[in-house]
Amino acid sequence: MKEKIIIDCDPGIDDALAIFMALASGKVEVTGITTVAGNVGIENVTGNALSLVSFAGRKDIPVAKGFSGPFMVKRKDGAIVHGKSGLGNALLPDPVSEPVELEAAEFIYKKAKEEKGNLVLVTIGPLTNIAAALSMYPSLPSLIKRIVMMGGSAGIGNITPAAEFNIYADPHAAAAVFQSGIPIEMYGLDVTNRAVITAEEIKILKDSKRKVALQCVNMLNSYMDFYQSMGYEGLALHDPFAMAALIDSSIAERKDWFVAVETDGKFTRGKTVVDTYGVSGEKPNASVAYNLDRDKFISLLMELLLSYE
Amino acid sequence: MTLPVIMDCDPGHDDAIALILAHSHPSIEIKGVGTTAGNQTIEKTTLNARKILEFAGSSVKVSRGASKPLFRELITAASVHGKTGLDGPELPDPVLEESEFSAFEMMVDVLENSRETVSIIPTGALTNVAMLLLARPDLKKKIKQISLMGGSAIGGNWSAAAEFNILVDPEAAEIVFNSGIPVIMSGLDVTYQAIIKDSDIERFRNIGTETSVMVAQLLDFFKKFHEEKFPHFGGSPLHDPCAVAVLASPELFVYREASVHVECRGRYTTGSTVVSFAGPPRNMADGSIVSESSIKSDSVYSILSQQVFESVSRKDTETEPDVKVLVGIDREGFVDLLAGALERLK
Repeated sequence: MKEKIIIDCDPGIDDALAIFMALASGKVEVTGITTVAGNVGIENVTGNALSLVSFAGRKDIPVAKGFSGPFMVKRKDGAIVHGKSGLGNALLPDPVSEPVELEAAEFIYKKAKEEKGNLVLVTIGPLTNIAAALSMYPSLPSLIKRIVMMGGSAGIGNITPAAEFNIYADPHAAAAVFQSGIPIEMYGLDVTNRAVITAEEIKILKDSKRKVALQCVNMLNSYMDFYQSMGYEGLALHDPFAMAALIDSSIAERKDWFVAVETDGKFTRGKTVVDTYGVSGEKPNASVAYNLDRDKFISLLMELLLSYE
Repeated sequence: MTLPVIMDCDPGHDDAIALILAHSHPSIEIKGVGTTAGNQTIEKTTLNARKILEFAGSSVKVSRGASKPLFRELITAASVHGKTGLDGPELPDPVLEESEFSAFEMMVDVLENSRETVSIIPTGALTNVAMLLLARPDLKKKIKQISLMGGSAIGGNWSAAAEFNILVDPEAAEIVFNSGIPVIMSGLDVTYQAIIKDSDIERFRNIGTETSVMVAQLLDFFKKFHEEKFPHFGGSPLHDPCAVAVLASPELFVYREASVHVECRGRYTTGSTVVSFAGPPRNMADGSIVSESSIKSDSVYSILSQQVFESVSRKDTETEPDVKVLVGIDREGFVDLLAGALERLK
């Protein structure tokens, strides 16, 4: 049976790849895409989501626009990584459709009810929409099968020494999600920093001369520039890794741990505090990925991206 | 040439062994010993320091330090170190009296009267050292370096995010890490690799001297806590002696340059050391780049700690990277160093 999912995202170069993967996979059925301000502003990420589904030949996928920023902290974007448009050098056609009438949080609740507890939320941006939906619809936790999340880190951060971008962008929302009781699979920097694609592998995509693969190459090349300027050798595919782990759970090893999100703190705001040594006395609330099979991940990524005409 | 040092400690089983290593090692000269509250109350840690030094044959007087952290209430670690702070061996009451000088006065005296710069080795909360730096900034230039046990780049041992020594007095730690004095940080990242196994304890016991048998008894007690709480270690991490060992045998250690801030007002993260790495792993002795981690195991914890070795250096730090964060240790060499220290003593 296909896993029914909503992708809550802020495309974003790696979000775009994750969306292409999901739409190509026979293992998941994308029932909708919700957008949230993150990598770039809400208008851009929503336009990008619409362009992406249309480019993939799936105009039928509903896109619901979400929040334009976090509730409690100032919005911080990732334009330095993803370019002003959010999709680097991609040359995507302008969107030909409109977002649905429902706001993202309403859309999530409606779908969750329709799917009667079988809906999986794949969150690859800041968690504002999900936190909002949780407080708007108290019954939501019982209607969600699980959350597959790209976010956080048990170790080192990226946007600050302590924090990963998606969590840092809206720490209060992330805290609410981790406290919600919904089963969470967390794919943080501990694995995604090692989910790197090499220049040779990007060349395989390029040589295929297929339309979706070529768009991915365009985007990845602008992403590569940023990563190399930061001292990284490879290109870490954060969001695609979470999507890949949903499609094939054997690419990651996970362990149940207690995770709290620091919402205060001078140096640590947005840090996911992962109790790896079990010293907090708190019960585990997330299944945190700590190891990966990179080669298997890249094979799956290639297979899916090259499956488009 | 010996390295003059001030010890600042809260014995504590691993503090005790750090004191013995510093006392025994030919390249280190203890100029003063101060105590701090942490593993136990100041009364107990001061008495323990006196007992240990006298037992090991040192004639250094112990100077009592602050009885509580700068701004917070004291937390202690009786679950690790027992009621006395040094449960295990029966140690005779010391004959030598406690110093008439406080830890602060002792440090001022040693620094003022030393012609060369002095290294400070704190193996407890950083209260005394922070007080010294605040009250006598003029003496900073007399401090060669601060080699401390505390903190971690990943994870904590007392809360999910914080290591005990830093958690006891986070404000003091933030003052020390950002004082401009070079700091060597022996945090959990390295001390969790400094594991003493049962066979090492037997090796120490079989040296057969009074001190070596006493140290084996300390370790017998110390391992009970770790067997119960951290069974995956396969032994006890010997935290505090790392801060001494890195000065005695730097070639055993791998470090990365970093800047470090201490979170003092987090909800879940107070007392955590926020480490921003600014350079590749290097050997402590000659600065040569070390390309491969000595961590071989594929356990969850090794995989996580691999990050402290290979994570990308940040270029955007606002703070000077004047901390050397230890990320690797030659465990066998470390055990040999401890055994050698015990062989030199009665």
